[in-house]
Order: sequence, then structure tokens, then C-alpha cells
Amino acid sequence: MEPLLEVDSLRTTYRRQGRTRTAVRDASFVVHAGEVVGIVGESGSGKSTALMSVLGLLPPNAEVVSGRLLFDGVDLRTAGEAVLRSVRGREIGLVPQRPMTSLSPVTRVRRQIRRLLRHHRSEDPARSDATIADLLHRVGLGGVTGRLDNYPHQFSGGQLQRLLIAIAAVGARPRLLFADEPTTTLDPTVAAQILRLLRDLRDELGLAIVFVSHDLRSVAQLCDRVYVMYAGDIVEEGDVRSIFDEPRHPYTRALLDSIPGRHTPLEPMPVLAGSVSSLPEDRRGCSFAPRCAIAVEVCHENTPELLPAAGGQVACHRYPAGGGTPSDLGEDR
Amino acid sequence: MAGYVVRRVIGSFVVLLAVATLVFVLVDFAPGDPARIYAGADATEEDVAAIRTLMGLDGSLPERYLTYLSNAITGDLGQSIFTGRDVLTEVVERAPATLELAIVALIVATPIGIALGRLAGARYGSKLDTAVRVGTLVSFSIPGFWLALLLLFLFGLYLPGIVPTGGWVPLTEDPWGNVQHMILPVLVLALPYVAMIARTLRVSMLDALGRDYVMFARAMSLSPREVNGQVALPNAIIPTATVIGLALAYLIGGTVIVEVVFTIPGIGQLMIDSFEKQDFPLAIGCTLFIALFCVVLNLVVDLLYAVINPRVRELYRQRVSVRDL
Repeated sequence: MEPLLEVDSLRTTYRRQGRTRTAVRDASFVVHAGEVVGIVGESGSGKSTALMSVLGLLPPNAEVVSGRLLFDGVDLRTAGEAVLRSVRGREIGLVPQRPMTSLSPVTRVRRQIRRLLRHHRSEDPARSDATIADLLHRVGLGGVTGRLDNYPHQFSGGQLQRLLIAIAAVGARPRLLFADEPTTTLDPTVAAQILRLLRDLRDELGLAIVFVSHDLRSVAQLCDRVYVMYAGDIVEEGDVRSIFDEPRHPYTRALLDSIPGRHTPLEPMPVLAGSVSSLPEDRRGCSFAPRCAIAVEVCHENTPELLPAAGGQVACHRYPAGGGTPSDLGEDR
Repeated sequence: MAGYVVRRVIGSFVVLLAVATLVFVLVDFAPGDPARIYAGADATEEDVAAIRTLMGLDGSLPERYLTYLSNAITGDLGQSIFTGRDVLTEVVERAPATLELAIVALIVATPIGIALGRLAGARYGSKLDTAVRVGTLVSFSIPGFWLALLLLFLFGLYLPGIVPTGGWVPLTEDPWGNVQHMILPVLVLALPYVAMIARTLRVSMLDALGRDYVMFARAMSLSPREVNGQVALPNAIIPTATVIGLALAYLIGGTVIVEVVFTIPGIGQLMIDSFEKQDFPLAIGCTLFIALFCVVLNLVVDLLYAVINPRVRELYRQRVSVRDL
């Protein structure tokens, strides 16, 4: 089946103080219709940048250097602003990371809903109050229909995120929804509700979702398939079961190890030392090698390619040539 | 909201009282003796003393101050030492020119400043942005009196007959003549004001355009025009409104210079005159008028601030002043 979104060798760079940093280095991923795809990785691994590259919504100091961004067969990178505008919202929706600041603080909510949906769903251009109420009911916000003449700061973070989902997913009815860490700024209980809402909407509307997160638990709850990103590289891909049960890349394993509650209380929780951002721009070899416990000489010399592995793909010199199962590899420490 | 207005009006009276006190004391400390100036160089000591009594300049400072205040409360600001006319009459006579000058400059400058700031901020880094940045910096740096004199030379000496370079006719008598007489003074007054508004708004626009709500609006495929005008501008205008309010004092100070250069019979000219002659009742009258104007305009700006910023409105409801923040 033809994928809905096919990102091929995307490379996006940022310029800051005269220096160029590559945020996404030749990442490729696909999303099929109706599929929920997770992209996981630490802060700064390039997850959000990849999504914003597709939507053409990068900040002025960022640039897509190369790659193809095929949505429904059209390359959004070369398609031009007019095509991008017809795709944004209508074909690809966005659920932003910080619901509290994603609506303008000086305009009443009802007016903003109307404004944001102005270019969508032409069968109801007037956006009657009944339609808006219906939208809100769909996302479990039936209780606030009487408060639509309030301002955003008079709503809670969870309510605002539901509202944004109502606008981006239900109101504009896109085929694909980018959820960019939609639960990061919310309380855990509220975050769980938002995840459930996204899953219900996927089932109801047949929506494909790209769910970007650094929280593996949410990914496990929501996604069918997962890409693991590290320092702008996609290091592993696989269906959600195989990623969680048999992680092949040492980074994925480290991420899984740092989930609290996967260990017995007496065991010290492993912490992955270092951070993504300290990598030099002109590095050779595997990006993860400096932090990798099982890295060998070749890891510092050659960049590993993303190669097919059982149930997915992995970019690691130590797999499977290193031999045996992941736990065997761990013995090398 | 009503409670807020009442509190602000009471506060305004306190400000006016403070201004009156300050000016009264300062005029008193200033060197020179109005009685002696009035009496002339040939006058005898007895004459000067007699005139001093006549002017009510006998007695200690607190005594005279209290007398002045009690009169002022009943609306009697005293008489001009030199013309003998009521200060209130003099001030009211001169007020229209100053008020018109300041208000017209404000009305002209605000939309131009907002338009320029919005354009420059939305097209950050473009040639237009650079032009606005440099242009506003220049017009902000030019001293008002210098520009006024320059225009006076240009249109008075080299290009005479295009616009009047001095004087003033009331709007009610000759509307067209009034407009013509306003052109140069308003230009001088409005130019730095335009620059100040444009520069502030440019930066606020830049800030607003980087915010999450702009990103979301773009992600919902709003056009650049919609994003700039409907999403970014209403947010960016808030800090600009503060500047517009603060800069009013600047504008009113500017009227004094402009009135003197273009010989406009306004409060500014009257005030300079009365300070020079140490005509202190008139000087205080003029100062109070300008203070009153400042206070009223500031109140208006603060109330407008509440209109454009819902969070401030909520603060007012909670009986907290913006100034307490």
C-alpha cells in the first residue's frame, strides 16, 4: 500500500550565531493511512524539527537542506507555499506541545475556534454555535460550551489541549495528525485522558497519527509502530511490541531502562549519562557511540546504516554481527 | 471597572495637588522678585513694598500656600500679576491651540506608527524593515526644536507661501486655515512619536510572531495576512499601548517648544512667558493645566489598555491596579 506520508532522507539544519547545526540528518520514515506512528527520543533529537519540516513551519533560522517529503505523492518540500497552505490543517493537522500558549491570550475562545477553522470544512463556513458545541462534545468538553466567550487563560491545560484537538483533528478533519509531545506539559492523569482521546479519535475518524514523545509509556499505549531518533538520526524502527520486548539498538535499550517502575525497588535506576547536544557537527561514526556501553572501534569510524532486522530496522554495527541476543551484548561492558 | 475609574480620578487629584505644591515652592525659591520687576527699575523701596502687599506676596511661604490652595479649591486660581486677569480665563483662552496640537499629533502619529511597526515586524530583516528601522532612528534622534527651526527656514525663507510657518486660527473661525497652520507643528510633534510607536511595535510583533499561538494559527493554514493582523498584532499592540501612554508626556512637553518656534498662542507659550516674568499664579495655572491633561490622557490610555488586554481587565475586577504588579 502506498504510504500517506513518506519522508525520504530529510536533512534539516539550524543556523545559530554563524554556525550550522544539523537537527535532522537524512532521516526517513513512512506513515500509512490510519496508522499511529511514534517517534521517540530525548529532547534535541530532532523529532519536532522533522514534523515542522514536513509542514514547512520551521523558524526563520532553520532550513530543509535535502530530502523528499512526499504527502499523498506530492513533494511538500518543492510544492510551494500555496500547496503547503492547502495541506496545513486540512490534510495534516497539528496538536501542539504547549496547549496553554497555543491560543492567542487576547481573543475570546469562540472567535479563535471560528478563525482557526475558517479555511476548513467548507460545508459549514459559518461555524454555527451548534457546530462548535458538537465539536466540543466530541472531545469530551461538553461542559464548557457555555464558557466559550471566555479567554484561554480561564481554561485548564487539559481543557485547552482537548480544545486544540477538537479544532485540529475533529474540526478540520485531516487525514494525518501530528501530535508533538501533546502531553508533556500536562498532569499525568490529564495526559492519560488526552492519550485515550487521541486513540478514540483514531478509531472514530480513521486518522493517521504521528505521535512524537520522549515518554515511552505513552508511546506504548498509543502507537502501532515506533521510530527511535537519536541526535537527528533514526536509529531503530519496529512495531511497538518488538521495540519494547526486543530492543535492538543500545540507545533504545537505554531509553527503556530509564523508565521508572521497570525495575525492582532495590535496584538502582540506570541513568544514561551525557546529552545529545554535545556532539560535534563534523562527527564520524555512530552518533550514539560516545555514550554507548558496547561501542567498538568501528562505531567511532563509520556511520551505521539503517538495515532491516527482525520485525523492523536498526542502525547499529553491533547488531546482529556482534552476535547473540541483546543481553549477550550487554555482557561486553 | 467603575471602582477602578473612581480610584484613578481620586489619584489624579493627588497628582495635581503634588504638582501645584511643587511648582509653588519652586517658583518661590527662584531668584528675583516679581514685585520689583513689576514696579520697574526707578521704583522706590516703599513702592516695591506696597506692590508686594498688593500682590499678596507678604507673609511666609506656608501662609501664602494655604491661602492659594483654599482659593484654588473654590476654582479661584488667582489673577495674573501683570494683566490682572483671572488665571483660569487666561488658561482657558489659550487651551484650545495646545489641546488641538497634542491631540491631532497623537491621532496622526498612532496609526502611522502602528502601520510601520506592523510591516517592519512582519517582514523582519527585509529592506522595508531596515528602512523603517533607520528612518525611525533618525526621526527619533532629531531634536524637535532643531527640526522646527529647519522647517521654519525652509518654508518661511526658501519656499514661502506653501504652508504658514507661524500663528494659529481657531478651527471654529477658519477650518481650512486651521488645518494649514497645524501642518508644520504637528509634523514636528508627531515625527518622534511615530518613531517611538513603530519601533516598539516592531519588536513586539517580532516577539509575537515567534509565539506558540502564531505557530498553531499557521498550522491551521491561516494566511500570513491573517496571522499578522488578527493573531500577532492584537498581542503585540499591548506593550505598544504602554509606550503610547508613557510618551504622552513627551508629546505635551514637545508642544511647549513647537508653540514657541511657530508662535502658536497656546499654553506652552503662556507658561514660558509667565515663568520668565515670575508671574507665579499664571505659571502655576499653566503647569496645572498641563498636568491635568497628562493625567486625563494617562487615565484614558490605562482604560484602553484594559479594553485590549483581557487579563488586565480581570485584574481590575479583582481591584488590583496594574501599577501594583
